[in-house]
Amino acid sequence: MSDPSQVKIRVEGITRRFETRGREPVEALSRFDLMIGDGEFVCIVGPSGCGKSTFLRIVAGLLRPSSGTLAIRAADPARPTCATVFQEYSIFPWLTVAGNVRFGLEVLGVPRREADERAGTWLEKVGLHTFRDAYPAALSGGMKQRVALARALVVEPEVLLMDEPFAALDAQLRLVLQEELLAIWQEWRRTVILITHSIDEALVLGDRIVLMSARPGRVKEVIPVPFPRPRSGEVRNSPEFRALERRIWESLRAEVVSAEREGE
Amino acid sequence: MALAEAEQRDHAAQARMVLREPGPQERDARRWQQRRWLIERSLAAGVPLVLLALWQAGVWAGTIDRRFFGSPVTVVQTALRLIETGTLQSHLEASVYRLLMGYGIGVAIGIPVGLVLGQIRLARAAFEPLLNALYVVPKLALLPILLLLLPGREGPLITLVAVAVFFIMAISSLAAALMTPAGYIDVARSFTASRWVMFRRVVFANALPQIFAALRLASGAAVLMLVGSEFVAASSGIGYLVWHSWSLFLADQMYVGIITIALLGVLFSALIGVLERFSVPWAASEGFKGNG
Ligand SMILES: Nc1ncnc2c1ncn2[C@@H]1O[C@H](COP(=O)(O)OP(=O)(O)OP(=O)(O)O)[C@@H](O)[C@H]1O
Ligand SMILES: [Mg+2]
Repeated sequence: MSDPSQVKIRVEGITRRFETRGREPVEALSRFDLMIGDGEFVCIVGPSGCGKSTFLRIVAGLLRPSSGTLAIRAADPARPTCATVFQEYSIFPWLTVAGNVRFGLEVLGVPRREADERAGTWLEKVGLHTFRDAYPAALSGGMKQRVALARALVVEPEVLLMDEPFAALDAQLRLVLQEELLAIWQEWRRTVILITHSIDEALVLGDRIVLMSARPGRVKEVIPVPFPRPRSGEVRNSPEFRALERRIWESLRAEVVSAEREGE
Repeated sequence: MALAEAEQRDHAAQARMVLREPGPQERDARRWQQRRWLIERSLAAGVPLVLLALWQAGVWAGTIDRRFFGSPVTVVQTALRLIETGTLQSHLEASVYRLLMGYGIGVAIGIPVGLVLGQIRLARAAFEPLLNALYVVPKLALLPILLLLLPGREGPLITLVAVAVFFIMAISSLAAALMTPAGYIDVARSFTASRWVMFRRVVFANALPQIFAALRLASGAAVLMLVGSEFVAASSGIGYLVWHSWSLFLADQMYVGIITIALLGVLFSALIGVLERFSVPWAASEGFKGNG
């Protein structure tokens, strides 16, 4: 149902400035261009503060660009265009696990019974069905992030946006959730934009890696990931993987260093 | 294959472009802000002016009875006369003095009591039910007792205002103190912060936005209480002016008093707003302030 030759998201010359009273305006994004194909999994890496979250918020429609345009080709008017998994935990403490997952469906006006069923299905896929009636306070960080993932996926968005979804998790759990996401995506095949600090994660998950420059952020390099699908964490074992990881890190390091200089 | 192509075309026909573009707010941020500022100020000033015009028009048309409701023009004339003779100023001065004294005392006792109760479990067990029970007792009912117990004319009025403010501040501060997120407490504790540092730097700071909301509520309650008690137990003050004018059937003079009270309330609230902007700088950029 997805067709990678078709453009899903077209980003043209996006700029975003932030004006704070009594301070110099910050230019977070500068002339950002990118094409994303339908059903493509794109990972964005870049130094901290380079405007990755800003870009994602613009795609999600939470923030408008200062100039430029971004067009998303929405094929199915019945489905939400985007759903987001945020950088910080964003699940509501006042709703149960199932209530959180149902939230988006309720907003869409899905009948209660169907919403319950769909929420149940996704909770099972992320392994949280036994916690459906628990409140988030009783969950670990990894479980909370699974809830956030299920909440975004259950509405079947055309584009899934993820802002460092696993950044707060320990390394082992991160690997587990990466595998889960990989399995889910390989079955589900929608357009995904995932922001990450980890080149390793980007190489395991993505079709292409977008490397951003230090602030003001723009596309420094787009690297296709050559490993065949379906993939698993095993790809890490190949020498090509290590070589590519090293090459991307060289390029990224230059930006991280220049971002640090700027900060001083 | 043909089927797949047809489906493709179907999809294409259905597809719609979702655009993310700069709006007027981004294209010319300064102009947009100026425009919004202008619109907001015009609304703030325009709505009361329109209401005043309607009032005056109603009086001229005869649909509003001048004897009960006065008219904006005669109210303004009366106000000018009262200002000229100094009557309005002396009443205002008496009221403002009681208001500030009562409010100040109520706030100065209420906030610490609330925050401390929030810190000490046993104190909370001992006093919280009492606080809640006394809160619902109509304070104005205390006036006769206060008049008997306290010497002088000012003492009872100030005390009454202070009591009303105290309860609002204490109950709100207590609730705010109890809502300190455990994560912040843990951070401070992990740095082995003393109880006092924890209190001042975390509990109090976290409670500040809510305390300011309570300060606003309390300012309204203070004015209300003051005017109410001046109605019955004073021979000066704006409340007295209103009551006295009404008993003499001087509608215009009464409205001068009522409008003065309203302006006093607006000014009070604005002052708290200024204080808030200085005391809670982090709240300025946080959260959704509405843009409809
Ligand atoms: N609401 C805002 N007001 C002012 N400045 C902002 C705002 N949001 C972001 N910025 C600034 O824009 C720049 C980019 O921020 P952004 O959050 O997009 O970075 P990021 O690439 O996601 O960083 P990280 O990897 O650390 O999450 C930063 O310098 C930040 O200070
Ligand atoms: Mg970010």
